Amino acid sequence: MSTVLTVKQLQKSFGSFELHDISFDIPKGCITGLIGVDGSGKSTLIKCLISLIRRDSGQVEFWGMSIDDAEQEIKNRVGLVMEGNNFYDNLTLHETKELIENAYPNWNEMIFQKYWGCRDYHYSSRTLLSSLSQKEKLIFSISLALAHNTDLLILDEPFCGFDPVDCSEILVMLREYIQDENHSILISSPSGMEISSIVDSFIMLDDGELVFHMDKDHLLESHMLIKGATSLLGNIPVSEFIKLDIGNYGFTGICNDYNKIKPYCADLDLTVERTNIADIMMAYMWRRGNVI
Amino acid sequence: MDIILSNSSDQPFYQQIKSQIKQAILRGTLREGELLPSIRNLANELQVSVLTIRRVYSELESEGFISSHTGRGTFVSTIDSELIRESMRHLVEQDLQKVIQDAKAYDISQAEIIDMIRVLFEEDL
Repeated sequence: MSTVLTVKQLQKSFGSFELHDISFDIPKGCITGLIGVDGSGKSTLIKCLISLIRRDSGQVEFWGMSIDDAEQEIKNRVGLVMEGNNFYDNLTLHETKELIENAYPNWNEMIFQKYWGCRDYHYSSRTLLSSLSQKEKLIFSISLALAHNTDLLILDEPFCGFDPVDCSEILVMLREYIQDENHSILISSPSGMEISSIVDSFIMLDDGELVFHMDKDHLLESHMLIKGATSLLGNIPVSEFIKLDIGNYGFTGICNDYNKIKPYCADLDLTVERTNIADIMMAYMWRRGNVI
Repeated sequence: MDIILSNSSDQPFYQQIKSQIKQAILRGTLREGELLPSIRNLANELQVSVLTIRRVYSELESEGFISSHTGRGTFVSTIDSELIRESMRHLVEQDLQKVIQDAKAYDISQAEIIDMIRVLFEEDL
């Protein structure tokens, strides 16, 4: 499987915050979720990747080309939707589209129409961007971001303040885009919950460090939630838990590698459940001492 | 073909998907030469990762159940009858293993189990 983005030992510090030694690959045709709480470094990382801010050191390559050597060529193939939308609210939709259309030599009107066209008739040529709802604004931004024959779509926390219905409408758009196996998506989210149904793998950041980069199903199938009587803890390899809560009525833990706990589960009558991405993230933060 | 994934099952998703596709082929729900959904399409539908589906397809291919052709897609293979027999035997064996485990847990002897099977077999006829 070929690689869309390769990041090697990326460093960036400003003030007391530091992105520390970040390395990962994003394969072609995949949706990668970048998760981590506010301040973990997601937005800073995304900005470093596409040279919106300068990194201190490390390598960033898109399709085998360094961002330092081929910035323009890369930006022509990357669609970017940043948090809060960086468009001018006092422009009309038409003006905004023209602005973007003229900025890209490879603009493809058919793609824009495919994603936005069906909604366009609701608006006049004088409709201001500021009059759109949050969801419409996002759909408009994504349509613009995809319309220059985009091979990689990067979305920074698109769902901040969205309800589940609005969210799912956007996810349908992303699913349609990813049907083409040459397309890839990098999408960030604080908890990972809204994007869990569509992503293929998760990258977790905490306090500027990369905690894990794992296939979604493998992550959810190795990090099981185990519950049982506290008296049984002596019989289980407790070191396999990344988080363990011992209450008055039993223990609850999230293990790191379910295969190592599995042999004990049937014998000891432990309860095993799948957990979710947010709980796994919290468990790692707990182990790293960054959450109570 | 239906593929029903269970969150409470002990089996990982790739095993659940693989065994259900295999069963569909063995039971004839999926017929020889039939086109399977694309990896991305099935991943979207089942809300699992493309890597999971890729693993399922590559294992089914190496076991001879499906074959993929670049640019055209993945198809159900012409399966020789010996492989079908073997796979069906394997499915029954898996079920029997569970029976044996239960029998051991409830202290039922080998002879008793064999008797039971004989009786049930004859009743069924």
